[in-house]
Amino acid sequence: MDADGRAVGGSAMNDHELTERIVLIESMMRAGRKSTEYWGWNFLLWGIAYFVAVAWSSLLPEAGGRWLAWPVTMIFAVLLTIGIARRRTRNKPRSEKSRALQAIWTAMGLGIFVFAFPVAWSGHFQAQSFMAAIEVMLGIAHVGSGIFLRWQTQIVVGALWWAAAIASCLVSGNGVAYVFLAATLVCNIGFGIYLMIRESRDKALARAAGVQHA
Amino acid sequence: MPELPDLDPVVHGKMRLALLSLLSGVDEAEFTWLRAQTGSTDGNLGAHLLKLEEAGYVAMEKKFVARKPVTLYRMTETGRAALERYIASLKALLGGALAG
Repeated sequence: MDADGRAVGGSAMNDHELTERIVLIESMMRAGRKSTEYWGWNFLLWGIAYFVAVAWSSLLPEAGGRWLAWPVTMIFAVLLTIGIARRRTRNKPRSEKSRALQAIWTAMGLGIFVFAFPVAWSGHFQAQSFMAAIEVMLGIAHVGSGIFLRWQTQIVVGALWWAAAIASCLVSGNGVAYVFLAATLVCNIGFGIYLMIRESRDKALARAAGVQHA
Repeated sequence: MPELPDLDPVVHGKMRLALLSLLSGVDEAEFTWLRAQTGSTDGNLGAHLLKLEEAGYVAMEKKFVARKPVTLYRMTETGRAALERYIASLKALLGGALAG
């Protein structure tokens, strides 16, 4: 055994081989953690769904089923989310992190449905406060995820939703819709595309490093 | 001269080390996912997983998901402790040059 040799199960190893093991451990732990964290497509999907709902409810004549725009679009988006998520997460493991994030977003989604449908059908709908409440809930989910992931970008996205909520309280008429669409454009569509770019970049880097992803 | 720690030979094998590292970050994982992550063949992967199972480092469970049979593996507490000991030993062997 030379000066740098280490005894491992009766054989000698040098520092290079030991360092290789550390690199292997780190890359595999990273691969395990990253396997379930890409949800850019979902932000994009919901951003598009919001735009479709707003366009449908604004452009159709009053008698043309305008009131159906939000319920139909939102239910369709939920079903699409469940279907795509099931397909993307098939055969993939779950971690404490993925369960924690799923808990935040599921609770937020259910909260919006529990709030929005009764308010819309109660006859006490008031656009400013209604949209502000929705935007606050979206902000809570983003900021909660951002704090959990220690990811400033998502905290900023959540803060933008909260800023939109404040703005919604201050504007009148169609201003509420414009605020919501602007926030959707940045916080859902823009953020979703940004995440999808990151996902493809991370996968390319992982492939280059020899770590395969399912 | 300080005594150098021994490395656990069950953990030390590259494939088994990769498997334990993968399983350390998830609740449980399917055989097919582990195969895809490691780029291994069924036979090779199965042999290494069996060795880890015999050492008590992983636990295997077969069940049906959507009427399809799946084989799930999860790391046991013994396995987690073994991996932690192995990493500590590696760092000690490398003279504490690796931080964190």
